[in-house]
Amino acid sequence: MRVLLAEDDARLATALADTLRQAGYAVDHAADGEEAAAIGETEPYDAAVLDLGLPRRDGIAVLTGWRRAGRTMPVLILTARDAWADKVEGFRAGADDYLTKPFRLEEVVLRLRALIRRANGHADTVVRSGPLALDTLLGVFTLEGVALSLTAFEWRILAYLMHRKERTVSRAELSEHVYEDHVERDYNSLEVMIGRLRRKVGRDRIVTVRGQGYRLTAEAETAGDREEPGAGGGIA
Amino acid sequence: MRAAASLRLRLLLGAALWIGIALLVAWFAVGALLRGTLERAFDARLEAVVLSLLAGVEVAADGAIALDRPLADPAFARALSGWYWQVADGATVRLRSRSLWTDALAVPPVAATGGQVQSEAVGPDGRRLRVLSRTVTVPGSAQPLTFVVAGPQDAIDAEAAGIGRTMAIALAVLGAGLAAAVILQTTIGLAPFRRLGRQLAEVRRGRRERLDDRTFAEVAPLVREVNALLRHDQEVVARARTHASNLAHALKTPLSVLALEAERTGSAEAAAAVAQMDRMIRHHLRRARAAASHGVLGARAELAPVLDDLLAVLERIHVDRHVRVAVEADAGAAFAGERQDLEEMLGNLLDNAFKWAAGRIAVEVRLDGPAGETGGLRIAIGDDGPGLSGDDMARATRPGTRLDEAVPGDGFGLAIAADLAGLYGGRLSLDRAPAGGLRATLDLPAAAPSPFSN
Repeated sequence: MRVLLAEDDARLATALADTLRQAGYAVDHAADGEEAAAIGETEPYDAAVLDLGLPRRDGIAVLTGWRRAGRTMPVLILTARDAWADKVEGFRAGADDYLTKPFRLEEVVLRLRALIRRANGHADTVVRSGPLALDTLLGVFTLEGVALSLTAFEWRILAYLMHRKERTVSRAELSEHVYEDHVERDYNSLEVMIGRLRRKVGRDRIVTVRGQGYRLTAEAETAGDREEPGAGGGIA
Repeated sequence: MRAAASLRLRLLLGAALWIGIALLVAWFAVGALLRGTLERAFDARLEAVVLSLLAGVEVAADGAIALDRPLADPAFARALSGWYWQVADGATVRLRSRSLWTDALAVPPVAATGGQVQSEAVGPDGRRLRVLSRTVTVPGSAQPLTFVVAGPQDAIDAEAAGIGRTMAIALAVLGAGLAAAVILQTTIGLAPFRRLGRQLAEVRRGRRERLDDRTFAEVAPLVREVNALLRHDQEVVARARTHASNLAHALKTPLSVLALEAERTGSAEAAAAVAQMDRMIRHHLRRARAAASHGVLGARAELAPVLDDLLAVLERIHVDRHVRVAVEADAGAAFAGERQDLEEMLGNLLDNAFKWAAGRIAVEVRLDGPAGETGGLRIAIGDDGPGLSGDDMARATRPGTRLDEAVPGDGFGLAIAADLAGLYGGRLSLDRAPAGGLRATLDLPAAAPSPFSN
């Protein structure tokens, strides 16, 4: 779960980034409109938090640009302008939700979780895959009703797989959605993380699809082709 | 302020003064001319009598004077008729008309022979007389004879009075005709101003944005100035909105940082202070924005697009609540005010309904005035939620009231809508919806339907 944070106020940006990372998200920060437009159009994000009052390029213009470039990730706009006309304008440009300043940090996290869940087509606030469940309001995984203890990175990987349950996710895609922009991407450590997650949620729940990637599944499979090839075949 | 001052009255009074003077001058000039003519005619008649006396007088050998035949006019034979003649020889009256009996007319000063003198005298009956005397040397007479003929002055006066009456009637008719023409002219001439007044009233009611500038050359500068003023007014409001919005942005980012700091340090007091500051800023900004827009001439907002925009936003924000909205609106409904203010009122009320509704919201829009009239616009938004108690309804429309801390939102939605409605001379009322929840009803001034909509 990787999120783009476009906010020009340094103090606000730091507090938001810290909170979002604590909630388990990989966070990339853009400090002005030009930068936000550029990385928002090229990098695959699961969601964006966009301040409308950005320097160099107005938030509405940034959002319009993203949508024109075919970017469909859910966008939460932060705005000081709380008139309904501004809200209407924001939603017209393609926003999915808004928060007016001042806001509480937990509110941002709550809204983002809901946006990401809905964007992935889950109507219920609890996403289930067999005995594994993700409460999107609290951001907590449970297995057979018992809360799982996960590191932020583990949570990120599992949340991404969970939102795309029963679908095969390539290593490249997974790495794009769990590493922040400035972090070196490393398939080996990703492999290690998957291994650790398997021990926590059950070996059979995360299937390695040879040459393609990983799949989170509800049914424990018996098929023989699932065994991972250890160091992992290079798939782009 | 001089309420009685009227351009039309001014024009009418001016015209009346000039017509009056012209009629008076005509009265005196024509009157004098007429009188002169009458007097000349009278004198000609007297002279004719003198000539017939001259023709008829005979001086006998003994010096006795007689007329060979009586004068044709019987007035000279009737005693004290006012018509007299006499023939005098120096101071001695030698012959006189029967109407004089034994009296004599005061003889005017003796003129040279052959001369004719016109004078006035008082007759034996006390009437004023117009007298013509002529001194002639008659064959047979030793001395020149003075022929005197007199007629009553009041005969002229009576005739002059008769003609004067006719003339007065003619002048009165002329005066009335001129006055009617002036009234007609001022009515036609001032018509562009009355049309201007009607158009301004329409601008005020939001039925038109500017005055029609296809008008007369004399009115055009005024129309241009008023249109420029209207444009300026709209620009000032737009600037005020931008300022208010910029101020909000400038204040809110540091306020957000303060709020985060309060959250991080866990200071409930600081958090409460920040929340209060936020509420105050919002309240006063909204008031400033609303006050700036209040009374803008020519503002008009169609209801249907505003409702569509707001519902699109709200359905997205509250997508998890699965609320169905039924809209029933009169065609062509429009609000006589700024679109932003309408959005503010409806946005807050609808947002409130979305937060509380169990599953359904009913929006009803009615124009209660006949089409084309400045009627009212009534917008009712009802939900099927828990509703409010009577006390809460009264409290909810007061600014800054937060009825339920558990539901996210700024809690002043109802108060903001009530405030704005009040600024437009409308009102917000709350009661129980047919579906069981709260129903908020906005009564607002309606704008006339646009000529393009149906």
